Parts: sequence; C-alpha cells; structure tokens
Amino acid sequence: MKTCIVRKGLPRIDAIPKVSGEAQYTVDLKMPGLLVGKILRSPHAHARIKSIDTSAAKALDGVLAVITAEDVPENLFAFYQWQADKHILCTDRVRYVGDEVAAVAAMDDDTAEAALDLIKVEYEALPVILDIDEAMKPGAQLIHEGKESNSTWSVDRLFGDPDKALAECDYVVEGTYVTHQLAHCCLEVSNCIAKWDKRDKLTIWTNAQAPHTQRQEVARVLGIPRRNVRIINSTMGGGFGSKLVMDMKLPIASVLSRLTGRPVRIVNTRSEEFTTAKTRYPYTLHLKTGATKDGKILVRDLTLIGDNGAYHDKGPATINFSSMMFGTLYNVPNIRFHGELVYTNKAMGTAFRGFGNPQVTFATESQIDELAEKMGMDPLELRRRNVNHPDETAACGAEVCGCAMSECMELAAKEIGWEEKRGKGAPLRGVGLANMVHTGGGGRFYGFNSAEAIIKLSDEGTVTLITSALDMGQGAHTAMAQIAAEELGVRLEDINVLSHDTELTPYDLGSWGSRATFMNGNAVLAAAEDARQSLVEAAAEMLEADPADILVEESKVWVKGSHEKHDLSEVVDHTVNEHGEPISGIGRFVDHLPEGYTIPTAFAKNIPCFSFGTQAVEVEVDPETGQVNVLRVVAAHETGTTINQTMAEGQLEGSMAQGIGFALMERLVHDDEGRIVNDRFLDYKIPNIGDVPEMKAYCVESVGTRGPFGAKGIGEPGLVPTAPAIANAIYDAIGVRLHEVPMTREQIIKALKEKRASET
Amino acid sequence: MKAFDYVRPSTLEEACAVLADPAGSAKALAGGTDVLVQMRAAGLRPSVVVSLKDVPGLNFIHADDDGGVTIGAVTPLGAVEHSAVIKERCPAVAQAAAWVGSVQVRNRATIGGNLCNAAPSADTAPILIALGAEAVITDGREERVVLLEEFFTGPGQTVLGRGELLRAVRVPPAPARSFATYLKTFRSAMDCCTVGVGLCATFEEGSAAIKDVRLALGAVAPTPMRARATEALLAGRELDETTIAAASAKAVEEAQPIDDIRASAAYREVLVEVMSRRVLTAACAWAQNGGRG
Repeated sequence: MKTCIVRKGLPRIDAIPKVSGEAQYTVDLKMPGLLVGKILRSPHAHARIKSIDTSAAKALDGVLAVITAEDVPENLFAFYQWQADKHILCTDRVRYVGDEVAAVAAMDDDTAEAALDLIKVEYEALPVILDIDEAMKPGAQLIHEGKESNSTWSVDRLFGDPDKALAECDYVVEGTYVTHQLAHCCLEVSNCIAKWDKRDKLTIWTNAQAPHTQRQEVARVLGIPRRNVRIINSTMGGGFGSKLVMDMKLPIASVLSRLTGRPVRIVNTRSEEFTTAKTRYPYTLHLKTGATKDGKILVRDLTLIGDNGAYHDKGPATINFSSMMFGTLYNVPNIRFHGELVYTNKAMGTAFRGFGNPQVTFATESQIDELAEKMGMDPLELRRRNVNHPDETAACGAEVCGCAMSECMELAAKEIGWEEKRGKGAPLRGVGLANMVHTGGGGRFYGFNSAEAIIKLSDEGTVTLITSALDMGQGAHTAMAQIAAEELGVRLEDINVLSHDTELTPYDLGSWGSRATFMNGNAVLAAAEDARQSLVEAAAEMLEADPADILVEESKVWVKGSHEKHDLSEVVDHTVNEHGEPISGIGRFVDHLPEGYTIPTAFAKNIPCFSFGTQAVEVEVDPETGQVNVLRVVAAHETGTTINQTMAEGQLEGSMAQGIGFALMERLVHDDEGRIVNDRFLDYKIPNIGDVPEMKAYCVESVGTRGPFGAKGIGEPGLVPTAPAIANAIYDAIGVRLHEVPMTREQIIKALKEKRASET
Repeated sequence: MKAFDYVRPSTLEEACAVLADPAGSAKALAGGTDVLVQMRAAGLRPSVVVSLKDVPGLNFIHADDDGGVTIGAVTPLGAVEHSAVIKERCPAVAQAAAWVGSVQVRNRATIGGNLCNAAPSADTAPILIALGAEAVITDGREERVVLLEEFFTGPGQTVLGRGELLRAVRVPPAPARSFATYLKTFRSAMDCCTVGVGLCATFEEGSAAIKDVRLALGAVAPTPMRARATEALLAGRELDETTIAAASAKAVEEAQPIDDIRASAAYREVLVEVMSRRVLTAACAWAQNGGRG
C-alpha cells in the first residue's frame, strides 16, 4: 500500500503543548469563584452510620456547603442500572474504606480539610469481609442487605461437550491461578470541576475516557435531563480504563455547585487515587486443559470467581469479555466457562487495560506450558499445533478474519532465541513465551457499535477534524489526524483535532477496548472521503479539468499530467469566497451486527476484529533472594496496518512495562480491617526506568480486517501475555511454577524451598 | 499541606535560633525529598520551615589532612556519588549514595537529609557506620561530635536536640588493607532497601585473616545497626567459607526485623544471611587477591 502519512512514525501532534507545559489539565483550569471540594470518606471497611453531625463544619469560616446523603438525590447507581447499588453519598452504611460519606465546598484547601475534620460521624462496626471464599460461605455477613448472598452475578458458557472430550484426552492438567487488585496509576489523578449555572445547565470539566456515556451517567444518578449535562474534557494524563465509568466526585461536585452557585473542583489525592479510583478485578481461576497425545487441545474448562469489591461497575462486562477471549484462543472445540462475581468490603473493580484478559491469559498460557511439560513436548510446538488461523469461525462463534498468530509466534520465538536457549541456557536464566488474542476494535456489547466524525476546511486550506476519539496519552488524536491527512491529501500539521466537548462531538461510546483506531478511525476516514469528494469537485471546476484527473497530496492540488501545482488554500479560497460553497465532510462507520445477534447470546460474535500476538521473555533469577531480573522482552503483535510505527511501538512498550508490573510487582495490599496499606508509590511498586529491560516491539502487518487502511487497535494487547511469558521463563530458569501474580521474591523463595523439600 | 512560615536564614546561628524557638515546631529543609513528601502526605505539620539553602558552609566535600573526608550536611547525594575525592578515599560511600532514588532525587536529596530523616532503611547509614563515620552537630555556637552509630535513636529519631543541626559527616581515613562495600536488596529500581548491608573489613598483611571488622545492617531494626556479635565472631578469624557461614548466621540472630509492606521478617532474615555472606565473600576474595579487585 502506497501511503504518504499513514504507516509513518510521525511525531505526535500534541507533543509540543505537553512538553512545553501549555497543555491544560483540569487542575490547571482557572475560573472565577472556583471553590475547593473535598470528600469525607469512610475509615471503616464495613459499618453502620449511626449519626452525622456537620454543624461545626458548617460554622467554619470559609465553608460554603457541607453535604451528606440527605442533600443529594436518593438514586442508586451502577454502570448497569439493573445492578444499581451505590448512593452518591452513603445513607446508613459504608462498605469499603474510602466510601463517600459527606462532602464540603470551601474557599481553599486548608479550610476544606479543616471542615472535613469537623464532621462528626458515629459508626457501628460490622464484620469485614475481604476474601471471596469467606464472602461466599453460607450465612456470611451480607455486604448489601436484602440480597440473597454476596455472590451477585454469574454467567455460564458451554460449547461442544467438555465432559466427553475430557474422557477422550490423553493428557489433562488442572490448576488454580490467582490474581489480585491492581491500581491503574495514571499520572493524572481522577478530578473534575462542576458548574451548575443559572439556566440549570450542568457543565463538568474532567478527564473522561467516555464523556458521552458519563454524561448520561451523571444525568441518571442526579435524576436530571441528559440535555442539561455537558462534559468538557481537559487534556488527559492517562486512563487505562479507570476513567471510563463516572466517579462519584462528578455528582458530588455538581450538588456542591448547585448549592453554592459557584464552580467546585474536586481532585483526588494520590492516596485517594490508590484507595478509591477502582481497581483491576482480581480473579481466582480453576482451570482444566485437556489434549490428545499428538498435542491437539480438545477441551478447556474454567471456573472463575471475580472479586467485585463493594459495589458494581464493569464486573459482568469484564467477565464476559474474559470468556470471549478464553473461548477464542486456539479455537478449542469444547469449552466450559463459569464466571461469578462476589461482593467484598474492598474498593470496587472497574475496566483496566486488557479487561479481564490478562488474568485469564495468565492461567491459560501458564497451563499450556504445564501441559507441554506433562506431555514431554516443547511448549512452542504444542502451541504450533493449536494456533488460530485466518478466516476461521471458532467453536464459540468467534469470527476470526485476519489472523497473524503463527507469524507473531515464530517471530517472537526466533528473536528471543528459543531454540538455543530454552532448557539449555545459562544457569538461572530462562526463556518463556505466551500467546494472546484480544479485540482490535472494541465490541458490540451495547447492542450497537458505531462512530461518526466531521471534517471542515477553512478558507486557507487548514482542516478541523471533529472526532469522538479521546486522547488520553495513547496518541489517538495523532492517529485520527494521520488517517484524515492521508485521505484528504493534506499535511499532518494542517489538521487540528477537536474531541473535547459533548456539545461538539458526535455521540460515541468512548475510547476503550482498543477501539478508537478501528471505530473512530473508520468514521474519520469516511468523513475525509466525503470532504475529499467536494474538494476534488471544486478543484475540477477551478482548474477546468475532469474530477477524475485531480490529484491532491501534501496540501497541493494539480491536474494529472500537469506540472502546475496549486496550494490547497487556493482551491478552498476559490470555492468559499467565489462561490460561497464551504467544504466539509461527515463520516459514519457502523459496525453492523451479525445476523441473529442478541446481546445475551452473541458471545464472541461481539468482537468486530480480533488481534493476535505473542510475547517472549528472557529472565534471570537469583535463587537466594528470589529476585527476578527480566533481561529482554520481545513482543510481536498484529496491527493489521500500522498507522503510526513509533506510537504503536510505544503502546506495546508501555503495556509490556505494565505487564511486568502485573507479573512481578503490583498489588494493593489490605490490612485485616480492609485499609490499603500501600497507598503511595513508595510501596505500590510499578516498573520504573531502571526495571524496564530491553524491549523489542514488532508490529506485524496482516490483511483481512475492516479497520481504516486495514488497521487494528493496539492499545491493550502488549499487557495481556506478559505475565504468563514471565512465569514460563521463571520455570525454565529454576524449575518452579508460580500460580499467583505478582510473583514476588518471597513467593519464589517459598516455592524453591518447597521444591527442595519435595526432592529430598 | 497546611499553611506554614518559611524562613531562609543566612547563618548557622540564625538557623539554629529559629529551630530552637520553643514557641514553634520548626523543621529544617535541605533537599526536601523527605520533608515535603511528609508534609504533603504523612502528617508532618511544622509551623516554620527553615531552608538551609542560604546557609554557607554546609555544602562541601573536603579532603582531610589525615586522609579522611568531611562531607557537608547539605551536599547533594549526586555530588557525593560523583566526587573524585570520595571515589578515591571511600568509594563505598559513593556507591551507597548512588543507590538512593533517581538521578533527579539525588540532585536534590542531601547526605544530611538522608541521615537526619533517620529511616531504618537509609542507604547511606550502614556504610558510614561501618566506616566509623562521625556526625558533627552544631547548635549555632558550639559543636559536638558523635559516632554515627550512636546518632540514630529510633525510626525518624536522632540525638539532635531542639535547635541543633547536623553540620557535617566525617569519614575517617581508611585503614591499610581494608575493604568496604555496601549491598542492598530492593523490590524495584529506585526503592528504599529491603535489607542493606555495609561492611568494612581490615585484613592482616598478606592474608585473609581479619584484623578489624565492622558490619552494619539497614532496615532490620528500629535504627541502622551494628552487628556487634557478628563482628566479635569474625575478629581475628581467617575469612573462609565456614567462618563466613557462621558469621552470616550470627547476623541473622542479631537482626530484629519486623513484618511490613516491603517484606516479612522471615524473608528479611533470609536476606540478612544472603547479603552478609555476599559482602564477606567479596571481602575474602579481595583479601585473597592481595587486596585488589
């Protein structure tokens, strides 16, 4: 494919404002009368609220409002309204440490903090449940009174006949795998400014990954018309899924603004961010894999318990997505999946890069190596015998179009030195690899999947692109601009991207699920095609040529065969100012639902585009301290067509680093009372520059998808197989198999000790 | 962060006077990498912050006539790390300084701050204790000198009285045929240590027999500590595998680690054994190699 702008590693269009400090985040905004809002949060993981006395706080100089549950709408909220279980401010019960109990608006930070200290809340402690097994015991303390049990939702999927298949297998391995709560660790914490104006319009400045759906959520919980809510996004400093569903600080700031008649800003402290900005769903996975002696995987059976935390959010969606990826990887003919969500007195889970897939892939791809070991087969060879192929419909219904799994796997294996190193590398060194499948284009989970974009040309030939793709740091604006520039034939620097305002942008489901490039990119492409058509017609008229002979490239327009090149601005100026015919374009992309689609039965047909990839790592283990040193990571992932080489590699590298954190370091740790004890970066470790090894990211181009120029999303895949690749490499290095992440130094020492004990 | 007064005295006397004022709760500020973090998050609420930025005579590295080194308290760790004098006379101190935080942190953080913050895990403490360093303390008028191993009294606690400042740290000259090193374990790069071990071993001429030894442990007690029983076991002994094993086991006995978020006590004991063995093994190899490498 000959391209001018797409497939080039061009610098990001937002680089200069970000590096120079010109970019405005919500904390940078200034507005007249702006107040400081702060939230009083529960110090208890589970307690009854007996009384709240706000009189002293209200009496403090500089305090403009103090609110409790009595001052806010009584509506219950959850991402899915049918699961609604959370009030804006707690009424009579708190369910995790950090639950919102009251809030204040004051002139400044110190006064707001002093006011929080003056609110007297009397609690009566209730039994605290932090563990899913305890939560599921018959007669366990109910976290939500009135419900039948703490087990709050479940799903079953069955394809083929797993029991029959298990009986036919020559080899079956079984194991339990555990993952824990993780924090997203966005550089920019959750925040908002709410301003409820005299016309009853509510404007919220925030950093939402899905401003349109959050606008609906704010209206829903406040019980006000959606038309009255507007969300304006500031520059965003990271999302990773944490900014997808509304945070309660939005309605809280809104109520404070309505009461005071002034804008109110609430910003998480870093400690609040760690303890209340929601987490990755921890899974406990009981997995069985069965294969024939020639290495064909016949069956996989998984029971997965997800720790929901204290309230509902994206739990069902996350577990459903897990089941889709579980069903699709290796096209296993017999699949049984049971997923369940259980309430505990911990912070609630939410979306997190990979959306349940890293947890499941840790189990499935670790177990492939265990199976290979049992069979006496090279794990790479076992994977070869089960790879997904292009243009195949999996037993679970997943329609795989483009698929470069084999290419990715062979490339990663070769680059890590699989043949030379596996089982025979230097002592205490090992290599491991893992495969994955992920969505490369969001999903149809809302019952529809579509996007729109608008393009207009100024009379000087510059282009305004209005898209709903949010740039949270991943580079979506640059990718959208490249797609538009390529199609229109203009220079990248001539494109200005607007995506920040729900009153401006078309309705959209948001930037998640590696969705923006595929969905919004297609809409942008359509809008550019539309505008290009008008542009070509105008040029043909001006240059007295056949439209079919008009060429546009790098903001120059000419007639085929002619050497006389015109600036694009001449053409637009001519048609606007001579004829009064401005040039614009509108584009819409509808990802049509497959025939017979219904949300409950669609399963893997929810995914419009699958993306495959492999990661291979080399590690060195210190058997005396348990320290794991990741020496190299090689990632080979399918991109369809790589829109921007540099940014795609950046996405892979960033997610590999996050995957190393998931594998070796990261976990929110609770004390017995349910308080998170590592609520700061001193003790919640994420990989930093000194921990990140040499990384090689390969963007493997492939054909067969409907993305713009054939592109697939690449935002999440790099995180998905990192942990099992590291677990497999640790096994190769020292012969111990860890079934729990993070694989800490202490766990490795313990496992080595057990191994030595069993050998003597 | 609560409102506070900020003063920038230009003499030691002035600085100590503000710190001595019984009416307030003053806090000295050097690089701010601990103080500011504690003020933001950990409930440190001084009424006055006393910046030492303009106080002369606190930021220096001096090659002493006796072969030792004196380091001013507000000398950035980055300067300690890269100092030619320190690298020549007590390279293990440069090595320990280089373990603290990131490049950016080391350009702000000072050696005095690392010591006065009195974290049991402070990276510069074990090696300075092992080298027999002294703390030079001033109240603005008079100075007193205490051994660094007696400087710490508990987590976050030192012998500094109200109105006193650490002015400098004095590292004595290294004895002939001595080997010093600092080793730490950590959860990630740029982490405070899970266990730190500082060693200074002096050997008899032409052998691996120990003449004098000081072993200091970090993050395994309320303060950085000297492992005196281990030192006693080693004194006069030929350093070999058996002795090293016995000494490492003794160090585990002496350490008093606790369970915390960074590690369990049991795991810290494993690390004390491994790290002690590794520093002693390095010392042994050095001595056997005729005091080289």
